Amino acid sequence: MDPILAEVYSTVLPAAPFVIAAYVGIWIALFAYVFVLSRRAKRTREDIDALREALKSREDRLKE
Amino acid sequence: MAADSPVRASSGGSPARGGLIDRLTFAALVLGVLLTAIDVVWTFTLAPMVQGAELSEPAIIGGTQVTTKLLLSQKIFYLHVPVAVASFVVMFFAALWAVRFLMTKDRAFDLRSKTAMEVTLAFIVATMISGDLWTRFEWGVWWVWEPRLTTYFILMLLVIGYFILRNALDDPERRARFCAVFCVVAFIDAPISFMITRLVPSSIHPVVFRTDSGLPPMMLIPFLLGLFGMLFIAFALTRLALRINADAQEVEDLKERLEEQDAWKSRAAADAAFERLRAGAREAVAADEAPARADSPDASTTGAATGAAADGAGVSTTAHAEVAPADSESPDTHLDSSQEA
Amino acid sequence: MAQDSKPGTMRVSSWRQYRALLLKDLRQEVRTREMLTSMVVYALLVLTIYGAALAQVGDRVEVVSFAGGLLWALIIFTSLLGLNRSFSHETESGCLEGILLAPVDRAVVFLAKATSNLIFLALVELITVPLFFLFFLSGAELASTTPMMLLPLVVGTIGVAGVGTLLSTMTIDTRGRDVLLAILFIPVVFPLLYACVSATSVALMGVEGTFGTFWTSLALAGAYDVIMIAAAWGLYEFVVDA
Repeated sequence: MDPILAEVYSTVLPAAPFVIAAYVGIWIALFAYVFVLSRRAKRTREDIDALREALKSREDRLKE
Repeated sequence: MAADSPVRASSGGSPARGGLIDRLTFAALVLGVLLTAIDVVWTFTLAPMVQGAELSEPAIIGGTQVTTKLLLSQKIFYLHVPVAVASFVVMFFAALWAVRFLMTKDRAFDLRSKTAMEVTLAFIVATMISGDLWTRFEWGVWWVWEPRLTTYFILMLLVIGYFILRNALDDPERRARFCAVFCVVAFIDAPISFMITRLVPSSIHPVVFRTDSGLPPMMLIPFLLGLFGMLFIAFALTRLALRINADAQEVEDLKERLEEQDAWKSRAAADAAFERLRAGAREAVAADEAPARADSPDASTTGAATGAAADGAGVSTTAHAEVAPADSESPDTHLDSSQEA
Repeated sequence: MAQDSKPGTMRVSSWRQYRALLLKDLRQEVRTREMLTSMVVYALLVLTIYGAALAQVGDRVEVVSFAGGLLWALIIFTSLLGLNRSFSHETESGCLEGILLAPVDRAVVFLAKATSNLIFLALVELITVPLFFLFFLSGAELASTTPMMLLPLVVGTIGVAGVGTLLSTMTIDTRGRDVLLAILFIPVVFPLLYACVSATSVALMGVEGTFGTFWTSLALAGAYDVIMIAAAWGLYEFVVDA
């Protein structure tokens, strides 16, 4: 490779991992939050099921 | 009936479901992702690389003179700055909702403020990660106490402090108030902190200021695309988080109310059982007293003995009677409080 | 602000309430001396730690260049301790509830509490700042501008007392309140700390031509005081209004 071209691009290659990591890092941070949210939504759904269950058993008891 | 109204009141405060704003959320998310994707592609293809340090000697490449090295690390800027801007915008809304909470005392605004703070934290962490990687490459260190880094770090600490404060308070009403106050204080503090570190040079270490002004259009356009993309994503994320948090809170409320109702019901059952016991005791005393009265005219000695026995029974029933009203009061107050709620 | 809308008699009574609350705090402190003793002893301990940390530095002149930072770290840590204690006897004896039941303007409660905190902090600084000079700067040649460091000291202490009063009221009833106050207080007070350290360092070093920085820092610290105390004053009613 031409030495001058090599010098022109001398910082490009070492910088690449950092640039890629930065772009990936941003998305990882945002997706981490989305993951937390999805877990929270899942727990809420489970809670709703538990509530429904509780309500049903209560109604059954009332019928007896 | 009476139990239904508070539920409806609390769900009335939470964001409307399936309305225009929900469809907008989805559209914003799609648009945001699209714009950011174009930004990323543009950044790495069309946008020219920034000129870095001088070459040892200028050279002619492809008919133009090249005198400097090319900097790839500057590409971080195209997404890093939009994310940082988005974090400020979301935090502004968090403070706005905190103020509205303090004005209206409506818990829905507390929920909004908290949600916006969560999104702010996510964006702050994203900014910190990308910024720090740039710092590491360009300055060769993981951390410098440089104004921009320092103030942003302080901002992150403020937001983290907000959540620690939230976790440390148990009473929901007070938690909402205190957190709103701290949110406002933090939002006032952030710009002051930025201003001070910018205007007061640290006396010991000179600060290297790097300005990236006067962007050429090929660099400005992807930056603006990224900026609007990130703002759309922030909006969509906030709406999404708001819906999930509102649901979670409502379920928590319902669970609490159900438990309360259970406790109230079991107490009512206990009271009913107690009432029956008391009635039984009264009958027994009446049955005791009737023969005692019948005896009393002829045998005074035995009459005194049975009288004492009746007295004993009387004491126990009065003791019950004293306890009972205090106990039976509590279901009433519960009823009152549930009606008020 | 609240007083302005009311007739003159209310002004007098607000002032009287303020004085009564302030005197109550001062009298209590004079009787128990709890807060002052613990703060001064704590400051001495921090100075001892500095002694250990700087044991290998040797050259006294070097210390001057970061003495401002050391001094302000000492002040911040000591004031954290004091602010944590400033409401402790109120909660222990249920005194705050008593005050809040009385028809006292919340802003007056804030001002009285902030003033008493300010007085205690100033008293502690009166002891610890000379000690700091004695321990760490007695061998160094002090610049002729050294007395100017009193200005940032005053401005900084006012800000610390104002913001600290708001935040310590928020943290009194929380779990792990000592740590929580530090977590909230240090980032919020950071701009003030930065400006005061900068101004103090300039005053201690006394280099010609750096006094522009001194006055800028001081002006910014003053602006911080005004903005933050105004915010704390306005928000205080939400913090105590139970």
